[in-house]
Amino acid sequence: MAVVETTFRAMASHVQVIVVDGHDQAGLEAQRVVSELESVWSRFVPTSDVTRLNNANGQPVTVHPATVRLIDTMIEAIDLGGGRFAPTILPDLMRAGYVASIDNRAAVTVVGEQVRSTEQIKHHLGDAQIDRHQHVVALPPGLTIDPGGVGKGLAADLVVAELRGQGSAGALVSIGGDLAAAGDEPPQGWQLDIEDHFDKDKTLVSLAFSGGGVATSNTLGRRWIDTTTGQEQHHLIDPCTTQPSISDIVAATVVGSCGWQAEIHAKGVLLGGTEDFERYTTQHNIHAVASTSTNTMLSTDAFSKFLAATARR
Amino acid sequence: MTDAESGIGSELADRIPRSKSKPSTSKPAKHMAGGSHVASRKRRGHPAIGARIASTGVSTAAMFTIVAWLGLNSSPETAGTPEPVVHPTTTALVEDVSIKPPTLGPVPTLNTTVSNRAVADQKTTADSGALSQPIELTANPVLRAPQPAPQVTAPAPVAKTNGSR
Repeated sequence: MAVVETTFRAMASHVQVIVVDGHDQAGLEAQRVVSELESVWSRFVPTSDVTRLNNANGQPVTVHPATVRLIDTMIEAIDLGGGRFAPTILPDLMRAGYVASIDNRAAVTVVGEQVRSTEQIKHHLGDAQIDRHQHVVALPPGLTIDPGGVGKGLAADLVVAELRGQGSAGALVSIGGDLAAAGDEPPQGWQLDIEDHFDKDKTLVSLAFSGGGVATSNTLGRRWIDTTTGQEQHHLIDPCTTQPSISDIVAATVVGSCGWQAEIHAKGVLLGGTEDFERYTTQHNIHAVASTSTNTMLSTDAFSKFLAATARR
Repeated sequence: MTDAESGIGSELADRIPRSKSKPSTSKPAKHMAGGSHVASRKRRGHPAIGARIASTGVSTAAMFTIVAWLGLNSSPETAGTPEPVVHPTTTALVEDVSIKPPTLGPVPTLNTTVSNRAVADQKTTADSGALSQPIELTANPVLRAPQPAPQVTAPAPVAKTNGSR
């Protein structure tokens, strides 16, 4: 069994690809696919599908087939998240100050003046008109989308599926901590280190998992100072308030069925706070571990024993 | 002053009796304080016409009729001072167009026009089915303890999750 690891940077994130019994160019192929997805999904790329859709003001736009899949996934994710996920909060995110790319401050989000604030939008992403054969999409006028974390999770899923489709026995792809794995595992299993939410040089949990998706959402990274208020802001917007989250949970890691679903649930756990942790994780049958602002740990049963085992080491 | 200068069309001018003895009614240009000057007469309508008509002894009613007729029928070509022409390409008109608010109509019905189809086909061909694989869902992912790597092989790769740092 041959296990090959490839790393590179894309989507303003560290990308890691592990392929089991794949072809020689599997790592390069993964990089090509991630780059292709970034070119059509990034809101910081002026020619991307997302930028063109966000500036089309309701007009139909011909897009990459993967973009149709992205929008279908977003619509499915809205239902899955139960109100804690909204891919249409770009105006609120930009109002909070997240306009430029983390990797390249010169790369900024371009949206027209017709873009409305979330409160003014009467349409739902489900109202989008999608021609799945011709790959043509018309968003409701004034509506914008931001792939964000669900884009990374879905990208990981798609790259894994692509590598598997090209003959790899197994594959794991991690994009900025949102990862997906499927197929045959390496001899040691799909090993995963969950970094300490407060100290990236420490490991919170070490474990192996059988496949699916893992995602971490936190409000500790990607922060900035709002020049108008002088207050520190972060990128995780609560759709209920359209403001950056004020949940007492500041980081949450979830193991779910696939990458994008894990991402949705990680946001759901974080935004729900300590009060809703048990209900949410039970309802969605997910493994989760979370940290609060006072550094209290919350975890589901499956995670608990690994937390203890890691702490003993 | 010639008829052309006074702004009277040649046909109408022939019908108006002329006073051969009257001097020109045009006034000398006013000199401005700064040394520049403006030609007061040429910038205005047809005062010279009215004065000339009055001097011929035409009745007041007829004079007003003629003056009104002249006002209605004078064209830029026939008037003493051409009226400003607003060309469609002037800045004023362009600004008028640009300040119109965008029209937010209903979501247009998607139509598979030839151009759209061509673009879509081109993309599909280029992608040759890439990224169309189904995503494998793991219904109940199992967490287990990590296995130590065999001593004779290189360390197994370990994925990390940290929340997009």
